[in-house]
Order: sequence, then C-alpha cells, then structure tokens
Amino acid sequence: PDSMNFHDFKAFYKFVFQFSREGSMKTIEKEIVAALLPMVIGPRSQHTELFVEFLLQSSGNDRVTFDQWNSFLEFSTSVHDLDEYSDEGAWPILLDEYVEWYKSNGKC
Amino acid sequence: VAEQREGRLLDQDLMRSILSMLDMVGVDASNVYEEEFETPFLAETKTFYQNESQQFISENTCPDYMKKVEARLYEESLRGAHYLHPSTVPKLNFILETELIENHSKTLIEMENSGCEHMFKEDKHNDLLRMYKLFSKVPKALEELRDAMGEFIKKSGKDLVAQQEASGNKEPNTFVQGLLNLREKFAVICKKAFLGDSKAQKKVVGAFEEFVNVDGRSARYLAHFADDLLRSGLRGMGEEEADSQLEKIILIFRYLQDKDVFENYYKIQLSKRLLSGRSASDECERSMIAKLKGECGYQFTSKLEGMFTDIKMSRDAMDQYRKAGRSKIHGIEMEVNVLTAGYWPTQTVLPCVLPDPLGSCCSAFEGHYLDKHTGRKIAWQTHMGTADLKADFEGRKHELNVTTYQMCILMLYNGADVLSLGQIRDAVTIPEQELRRHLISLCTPKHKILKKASKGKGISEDDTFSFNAEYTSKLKRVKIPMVSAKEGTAAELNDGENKFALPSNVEEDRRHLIEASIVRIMKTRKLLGHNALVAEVSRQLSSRFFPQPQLIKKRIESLIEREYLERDEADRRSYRYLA
Repeated sequence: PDSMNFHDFKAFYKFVFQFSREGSMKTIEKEIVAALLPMVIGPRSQHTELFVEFLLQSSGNDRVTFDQWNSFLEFSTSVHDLDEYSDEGAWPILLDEYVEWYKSNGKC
Repeated sequence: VAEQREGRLLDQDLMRSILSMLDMVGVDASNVYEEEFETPFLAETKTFYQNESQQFISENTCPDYMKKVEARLYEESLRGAHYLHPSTVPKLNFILETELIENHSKTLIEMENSGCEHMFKEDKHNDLLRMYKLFSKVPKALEELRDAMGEFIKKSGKDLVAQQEASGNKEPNTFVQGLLNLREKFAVICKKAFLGDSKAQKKVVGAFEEFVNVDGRSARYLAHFADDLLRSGLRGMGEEEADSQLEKIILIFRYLQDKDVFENYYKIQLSKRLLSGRSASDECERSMIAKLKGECGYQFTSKLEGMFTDIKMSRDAMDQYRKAGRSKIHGIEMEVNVLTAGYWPTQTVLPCVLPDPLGSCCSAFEGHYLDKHTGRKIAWQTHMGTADLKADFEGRKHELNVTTYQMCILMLYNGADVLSLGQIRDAVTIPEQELRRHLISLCTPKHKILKKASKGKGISEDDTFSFNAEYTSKLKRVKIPMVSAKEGTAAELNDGENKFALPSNVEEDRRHLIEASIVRIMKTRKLLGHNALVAEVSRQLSSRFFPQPQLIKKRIESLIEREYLERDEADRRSYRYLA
C-alpha cells in the first residue's frame, strides 16, 4: 500500500472496509477500525494516530459506516488547515466531532 | 461668537457685514474668510461644545440634557441664518452633532434612572420622541437607540416567560396578556416616539421572535391559553368578542418559530376537549382552526380537521347503532367514538382487562363496525374512556362518573370487600403508574370510595384496599376526579437545569419531515451541493419549525447509509440521488 499511486490506493482503501465487514452488517466496530487504520492508511494520513485515539474514547460512535471510512481518507488528503474546517460543511458529523476534540485537547 | 454663546448680546448685522467682507476679500486661491475666521471658529466651537457637553451630561438627567442640546442646536441655527457664511453651516452642524450627540449617545441611552430603560418603562413618549429626533441626525446613534429598544423588549419578554414558569403556569392568561401588553406598548412607542420608523418596527418584531423562541415554553403557554379559552373562556361571548380573543392567540403565534411544538400541545388538548365534550363552542373551535390554516396552510390543520370529522361520524354511527337497538347489551348502554389513528395524538397502551359484561359490549360493537368496514382494524383505547357506575352504599345509592380504569378497579369489589395491590394489578393489567394514580384517586379524603390500609400518601407493595360502604356525598351523581400527573412530563423539563426539551413525538416528527424533504428535493434536483441542500430544506420546513443544520446533516448521513443518496465522486460536497 505504501507504494501505490493514489488512485489505486483509494480503491484498495475502500476494498479493505468492504472486506472487513461481517456478513450482512454494513458497519464495522470501532475497535476493528482502530486496528485497521494504522495498517491500511498509516503514514498517508497525519491524523491516523489521533483519529484512532479519538474514536476509541468517544461515546456514541460504536460503529463506523462506509461513508465515514471514506471520508476519513478524503479528509486526510484534502484538509490541511484545521482552522479552515467548518462543521457546517458536508463532512460527516464524526469528523466534525474529531476536529472539535482535536482542537479542545490542545493538539494544534 | 464665544461671547454670544455665553449669553451676551452681539450685533448680528455687524457680524454679517464683517464676515461677508472677509469672504469677498479673497485673492487668488487664498480664502481669507476660511483662514481668518472659519477654521479657528470651528476649532473653538468644537472645544467649547466638548467641554460644555461633558459638563452638562454629568450634571443633568437625560431628558434635561436633550432639552439643552435642542436649545443649543436652535441657537446655532439662528447664528448660521443671521451671519455665518452658508458654506460654514454644514461644517458647524457636523461638529455639533458629533460633540453633542454622537459622543454621548451611549451615555444617554444607558443613563440610570432617566435613560432609555426608564423611558421605555414609563412610556415617556415625549422624551423618546426628542431623543429620536436628535439621534436621527446621527445614524449610528439612532441604531444604538433601536438596539436599546430591542434589548429592553427581549429582557422584558424573558422575564415574562420566567415569571410564568415560576408560577407553574397556573394562569396562562397572565403570560399571553403580558406579551400582548408589551406588544401594544411598543406599537405605540414606535408610532408616537419613533414616528413609525420602519427599522424600529422590524427591531421590535425581531426582539419578540428572539425571546419567544429561546425554547418551547412560550409555545406551550400559548397552547394552554388557547385551551382555556376554547374550553370555557369563550362561553357566552358574542361572535366579535370571541373572535378578537382568538386573534390574540394568532398574534403571538406569528412570532413562534417552532410552530410544531404549539401544534403538538394544541392537538393533545383538542383531543381531550373533543372526547369529553368540553368545548365551549363548536364554532369557535372551527374558527380557531381556520385562523391557523390561514397562517400556516392546509398541511398544518388537516389532521386537526380530521379529528372533528371523526367525532361527527362517530356520532352519526352511534345514532344508527342505537336505532338498530344494538347499543344496549346486558343492561349497559355504550357509546363509542371511532378515531382515525393518524389524526389523533397517539399513545400505544395495551388495553386493560374489562369486566365481563363490558367485554361483550365491546365485541358486539367491534363485530358491527368491522362488518361495515372490512379491512380495518380497531384498537380499544381503554386509557381514555369514562363510565357511569351505579353504586350501593350504606347510606344511599350513588351514581359515580369515573374513568375506565377506575371502573375496572371498582367492579372488582362486586366480588370481594378487600383486595390487595397485587390482586388488583393482576386482575386489571393497567400500566403500573396509571394503576397507582387511579387507586389514589379512589381513596382521597374527599372521595373515599376505597379505604387504603397504609397511612401516608404513597402506596406500598403489600397495601390493601377495602370498599368503603360508609361513603357519603351530598350529590346523587358524583364525578370522581383524577389525581393529576405532573404537568410537564420528565422529557420536557431537564431536572436541575430547568431547560425545555422537545416533546419526543415532535422530535420524531421532525426527523421524518426532514428526511422526506431531503428526498423530495434530491429526487427533483438529482445532484445538489451540501449548502444548497441544507438551505432548501430549511426553506421548505420554515413554516413549521427551524431545522438545525446539524440535524439535517445527521439525516443526510442516515439517508446515505440507507442508500437513498450518495456523495458525488467528483465533488464530495455534493450529493446524488439514488433511484
């Protein structure tokens, strides 16, 4: 995965989610996502570690949807300045919460 | 000039001649008038008024200061007319307005005991008019004045809401009348003191909307006011008077943003009125619905109208049933209201166990109805009915008017004199909280049909209840009232915080409405950006409530999950409709 071009990587990233789903469940437990992300996206995102930390400590986000999974990749590659991030945009609420957590925990 | 300002006389004609002479003495580009006179004059004027206004304002009340300013302005205008060069006048005015008005506008507005708050409170129209006229010269100051008015209204309004809450909403009329008075007060102020200034009027409306919509309390109090009126307040009133009372409701209703909260309470109260036959006037009920329809459209009132239709149809159906001689079974005369589930406020409650003869009556009616309307299902709402019971006591026979649950409990005593809580519970299968509430209502000091074994207010698990043969009452027919449950349900008042939370069915309705709106819009547009979608949804729902953008976003995500929508591959800020 480290040496793939972005286009291929994106397809691979999506595949990982679908592959990791359990049978007919459309969402994945957050603990599993927390284990997957470092392996799959790892250093491609500067947020991987922190996002995993956030995810595990947050209440009410026990399962992750495909949309949230994809959006994390999108977020990692397109948002470079968190000050410009707005929670009134189209980002999933999970990411809004992540940014809020990030900012309030003095990670900036 | 300085001397003249101090009050000494000045030969104005001489001044005029000198100044016009100065003006004429202008060689080439040098304007002697300006250099020799105007510039120092203006500078000195500025200093003079700076000092004077400081002194005035620290020594005078707001109205007095304003009067002094008025006087000075007039004086200076005379000066301008008599001997100053016309080109000087606007420059002079600018200085006056800045030094006398603009620099002190805030101080004047906020002055204790004589500033705006006092003037608004005491309806000092003349003083306010003076202020308005003065401040009109300085747009910034005028805006400050309007803002001060807005703040005053908001504060007064919030106080009204708080007072009403503190009083436990016993007299809804107080709240509504308070609001109407406030509204009227400022309508007059805008007209008399602010000369109908349209920005001021807008400010008033905005201020009302702000405090009325802080949370759902205003909507609730308004609904209670309506209930009081429609229940008994309008009784015996002439058509015009009744109409003006109902209009009051609409006036406040217009300020509400979350109209669905009002509708929620209105619906529940309407259903109680209709089912217990406690409307003061059918015409007034219809009139109120018509007014609401006028404000919000057909969608808002269609279910309410459906409730009326149900009642009417039930009445007709009962007439038929009775004529066919089928309504009296086992000596029990039964009257049934058939309600269309979608129109009435819903409550899924499992039916309780009805005493035998009654069970047959219900089955008979059910059979009769389902024959006529095949394919329908009916569910008995045993938590809503009433019954008239004939009861033999030691003293005399009485007729007791009770709720269905009360009846079920009492009928058990045909077979026993004493029953335990557990026995009653098993026999009637009423939900626990209701069971307890109804038992209490049957052994209150005033209506002691049953005697409770334990002392004190509560019911203990091993309590027993015995039939009180010694019960007496002056009346032959006695209504046994229910003990009231707490006015606000736990969902509405966040204990400790005392914040109003939305009733759960309003929340649920909103979720459905937002989703329906999103789907409707996306079906038409096929591809739409996030911000545009949120704006369009808000617009569509605005006549009912204001949907929070975050809530809309949540519903969008849910719809993505359920594959109604997807994000556009090219632009992840846009959504695509999935057929």
